[in-house]
Amino acid sequence: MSTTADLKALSARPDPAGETIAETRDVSKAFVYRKASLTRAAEIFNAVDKVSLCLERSETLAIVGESGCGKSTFGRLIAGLLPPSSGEATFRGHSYATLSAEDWRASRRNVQIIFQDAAGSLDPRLPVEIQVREPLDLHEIGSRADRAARTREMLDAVQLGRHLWQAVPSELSGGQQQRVVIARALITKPELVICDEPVSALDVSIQAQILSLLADLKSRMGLTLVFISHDLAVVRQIADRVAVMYLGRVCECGPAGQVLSHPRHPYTKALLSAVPVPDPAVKRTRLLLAGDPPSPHTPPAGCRFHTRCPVAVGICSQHAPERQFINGHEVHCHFPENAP
Amino acid sequence: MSSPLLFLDRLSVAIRARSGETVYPVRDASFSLEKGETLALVGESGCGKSMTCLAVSGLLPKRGRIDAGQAVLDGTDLAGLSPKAMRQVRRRDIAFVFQDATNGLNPVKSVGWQIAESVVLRENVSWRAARLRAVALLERVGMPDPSSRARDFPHQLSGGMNQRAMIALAMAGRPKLLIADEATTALDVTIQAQILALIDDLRADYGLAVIFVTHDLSLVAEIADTVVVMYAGRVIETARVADLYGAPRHPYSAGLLNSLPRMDMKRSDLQVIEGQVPPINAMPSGCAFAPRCFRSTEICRRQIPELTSISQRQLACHQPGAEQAS
Repeated sequence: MSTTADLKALSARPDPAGETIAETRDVSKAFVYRKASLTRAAEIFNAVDKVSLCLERSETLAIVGESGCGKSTFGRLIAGLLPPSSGEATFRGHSYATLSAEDWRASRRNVQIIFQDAAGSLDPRLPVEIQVREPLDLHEIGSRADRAARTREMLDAVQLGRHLWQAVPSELSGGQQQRVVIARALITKPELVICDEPVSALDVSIQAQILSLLADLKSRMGLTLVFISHDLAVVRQIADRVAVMYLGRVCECGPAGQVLSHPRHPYTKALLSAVPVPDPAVKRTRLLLAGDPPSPHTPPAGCRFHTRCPVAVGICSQHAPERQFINGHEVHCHFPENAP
Repeated sequence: MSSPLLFLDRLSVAIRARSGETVYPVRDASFSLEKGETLALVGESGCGKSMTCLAVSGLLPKRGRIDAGQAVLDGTDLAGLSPKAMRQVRRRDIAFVFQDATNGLNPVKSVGWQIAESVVLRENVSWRAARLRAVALLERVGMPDPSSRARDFPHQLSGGMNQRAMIALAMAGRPKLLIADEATTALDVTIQAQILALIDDLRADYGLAVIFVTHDLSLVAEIADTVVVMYAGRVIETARVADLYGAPRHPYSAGLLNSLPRMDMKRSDLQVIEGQVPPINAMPSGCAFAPRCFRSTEICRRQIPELTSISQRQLACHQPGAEQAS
């Protein structure tokens, strides 16, 4: 790759020794929200707008933000499930766009996705053991006996009781279904797993079970995780690095401890202050944001957050802030918090 | 002490399942609520928290009924009321805010019309006056530009604005009791914070009693005075919020709090409650939590613990934890 040198300069690299596994460069994804007619051009908007992020092997990068900020679209872009409108998404140095259909298919072995709705992503009529084995069958990995053995191994690894292996998804609880989905995603031994709100639909005690299962499998299998969530408390438990998105753009990205404890972008601060803390003794002054986020169809000019930002001034509504680094921590703001 | 605004005494709800068997989503639920107080009803899905509220407001599904016990609101036993009388109580005293505001509102009427309608139904006023009241109510709940928003339909408003409209609708009858059933669960955190601030503000202003049904324990710590923890249809612990979070005594409350991801600290390992809630038609004979409980003994598996008062709280456990956090 000829551009490696400038890429290194461009992207936030938490650990210079780490190996980049996947990366996006100024990636954008436009969707049409009103089709063209005879008299009118199609109206499009960018769900993801020029996002550059870099993923190191074996790290967990969390993408957080409110609904409509483009975090799921970004997850699909980095997984190669959606073609970007501009910019590129690469996996192990190869742009998804340049892969042949065959190579792209082979890349599915190494990139897997776990969605929020486990019941919806499983076949309602197929026994779960067969569903978990299916990726091996499709990619023709190993002999018949190998596949069966690996399926059993994987189902044990996600701690699904043996009496449930022949069950169909409707006979399982939400947590058990999510275990099946995780087993199916991990059975091809992928390198990169995108988890799109994997625990949001689960009760808190089950959520804790699935989170510790994910953390355990990640360290055992050396997975790289992209963890998409709106729940900052969950993100704190699992993420190494956090990227905060607002209306299609990244506001702030850096090591989890820094972003969540010493946020530099006013949006991150407001978001953190809105998260309830389960301790009645903690009385905090809340930073309440006024109003709703603007529609992603018609994002405001300049910095996208300026309409709700408590510190916005004239320049914020005219120019989008440039990316800047403060202690290896990426911020997109004209007036970031500079305190160490 | 005057009698509380609402008290539940061993309330049980029975539902006739399609298969013909009768299941009990709520059993022997007891708690009380004062005027101006916020009570949080917490527990995991299927623990009976929503059913309890539906029973209190007489909105149980057709196959459901209050099987035993009392729910007394302001001196009236709601369990014994006819559907017609219950309707009057709902019209006057109890307001409900549901999770899904967008679907809870009528899609073919403007939000202003819907609020005005509920004003007209409750008070003997003209439509014209009711319309003005609707705009005033929308303004009270912090709707931006209330007079033009009143002409909007629910699909034209965001989730947060719909929830505000729903609260305005609930407040139209000047209720004594507001039941918020997962009212902020579907909202983003920044909007959730706005709605919580609004509900608390209304409570202080009108002396509302609020029952806040939620599965989110972090939220409870911020808004509630009293917490009622339910598990498998039963109340297992009731305490002031500071007491419960300081030293949960029921092992399930303790487990729930320990499995909670927290913003203010990173836990090296989330503690996990193994197993899952028993199905409603196959409850164990003893304490429903015994199969998952690390402290369970012989008696737990045999006998259902009674809800008893112990030093400022109510607890249903044979092997409660220490009174002070260790």
